[in-house]
Amino acid sequence: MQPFIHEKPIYIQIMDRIKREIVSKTLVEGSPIASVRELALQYQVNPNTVQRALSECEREGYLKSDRTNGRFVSADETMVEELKNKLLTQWVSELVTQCQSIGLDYHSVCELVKATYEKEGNFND
Amino acid sequence: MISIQGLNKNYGKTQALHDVNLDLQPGKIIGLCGPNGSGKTTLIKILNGLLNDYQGNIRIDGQEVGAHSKALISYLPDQTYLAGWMTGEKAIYLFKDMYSDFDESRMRELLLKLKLDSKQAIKTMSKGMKEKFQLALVMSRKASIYILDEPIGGVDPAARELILTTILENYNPNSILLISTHLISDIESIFDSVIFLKEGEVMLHEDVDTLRDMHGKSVDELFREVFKC
Repeated sequence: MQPFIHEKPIYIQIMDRIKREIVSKTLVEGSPIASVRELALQYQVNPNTVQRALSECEREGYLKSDRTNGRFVSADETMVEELKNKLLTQWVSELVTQCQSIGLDYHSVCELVKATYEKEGNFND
Repeated sequence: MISIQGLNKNYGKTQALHDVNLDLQPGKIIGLCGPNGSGKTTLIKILNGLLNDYQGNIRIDGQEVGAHSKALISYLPDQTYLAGWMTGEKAIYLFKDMYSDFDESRMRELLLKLKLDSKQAIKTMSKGMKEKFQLALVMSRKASIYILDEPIGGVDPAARELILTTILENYNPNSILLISTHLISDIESIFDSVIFLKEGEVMLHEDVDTLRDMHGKSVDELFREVFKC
């Protein structure tokens, strides 16, 4: 597990981690979420920070909790797709900003992306 | 739960604390950060009733510092306070006798987890072992306030993680946990809020995620900026 960076609110990083696990299908609709205490110990962070992250995820509709089932993933297929697009847009926009800042043009970036996919061995157009 | 108003403390001509005002609420882990000599230990000693010659108003659970507050607070001093000849068992016996909220079975669990032998005399323990042993004693109390003065100061980075886990596993979530430290980066992930103390004055008292959001910096970086020489 990657440690948290300290330059960004930790509750947001916990939310990002949960969302990434939803997009990657590590967590699927109905998957139970560990308790605040367990997550706090696992992440070595303050329990209130975990609580805040989970509440925000609930507010955004990715998690739900009820008395009988505890807290679980409530994102359906449509939400997962939307989330995937949102994350993708965010990452690509970060990538583009970085590339522009060192003067790389569109075509060289595309070439690089293609080359990287080929190197990783999962390029199928 | 802890309310401090207009607190001043002098050592002769040196002013150790200058007009400190703080309001600490239960259910929070608060970092008390400042360089050496900024007044951290002085403030902690006052809260624990070990220094009485101060000016200002302090209320702990609605009462002045005294027998009531001492029973509420589980305090880890920055130095060893157990007599060297004493064995760990003797210290456990004393804690059981002194504090009605001391949970011996939790202490036994912690001894196993921290790999400590309570039959050993305190003076034969290494610095790190002493610190772990005292932390175990302090965290085995079911207190409403925990005040830990530099709990990770004397141990190596690997043991720090173990100590943080011990604190997180054992503190009561409805209590106040006040931790003084100058090793902020090792511990900032467990804080709710931080207090920066500079030359006896409170420079800042703020929620840590709010700080990260506002400045795009870690608490450790901010600390280095505020206290740049």
